[in-house]
Amino acid sequence: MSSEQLENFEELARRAVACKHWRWMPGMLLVTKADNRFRLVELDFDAQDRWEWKGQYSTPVPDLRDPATLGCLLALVREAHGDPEIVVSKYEYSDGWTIGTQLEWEGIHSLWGSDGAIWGWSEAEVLVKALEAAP
Amino acid sequence: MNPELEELGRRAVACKHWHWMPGMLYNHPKDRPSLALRPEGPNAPIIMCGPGGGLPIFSDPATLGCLLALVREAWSDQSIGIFRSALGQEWCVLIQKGGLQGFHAPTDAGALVAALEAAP
Repeated sequence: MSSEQLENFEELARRAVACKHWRWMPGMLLVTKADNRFRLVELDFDAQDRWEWKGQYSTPVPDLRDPATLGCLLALVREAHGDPEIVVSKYEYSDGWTIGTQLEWEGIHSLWGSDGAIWGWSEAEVLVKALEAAP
Repeated sequence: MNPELEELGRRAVACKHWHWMPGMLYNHPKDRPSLALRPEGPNAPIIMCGPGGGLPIFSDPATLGCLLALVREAWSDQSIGIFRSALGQEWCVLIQKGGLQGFHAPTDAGALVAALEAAP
């Protein structure tokens, strides 16, 4: 993976954490600025029922290349949109990905963001855009 | 864990392509659910936090994400996804390799396990 792609994943991760629907979930992989990695095992919630990072390193972001973390992010998107059938799908006309609901043999009914139907070069990108677009 | 999920877990771990992945949640009858972890580097062995011999819990989003990754790995196709079947009553995984094949089940985990079992 090129450094440009890595930076893109880090930027996506920062955007994900900034979403109002974001929350940490057990199983997610955290990565700190110093490239330390932690797997979330259990969560201790604060008074607002939000998990707070209390480690000695800078505030981490999720590693959006990790399959378990992507699974959690999909769950967050489904929850935020109130639709348990949302899936990520390879876009049939290009190398990109889209996200929405899909029935067999039909094209996907994409979720819409501020710039139209959500589309991206990676699953992580479409998932973050979908989380940002949730009402 | 309900009996259907438990059965899916049993089928999954019996697959030749099955392996534990870090972040997976698993159940053990004598302990609370635990995570599979890889503490040091990408090539380090997986460590189970609780007793061994447990079954993956596919109602857990992280574990389901790992199952999808296993199916893609087993079929050598990173574009494999899952969606609702034509009538919207089942989930389906479509595999393009070696001719189009569909794996259907009432749950997304069920369709993924069927696709994992059928991988060459």
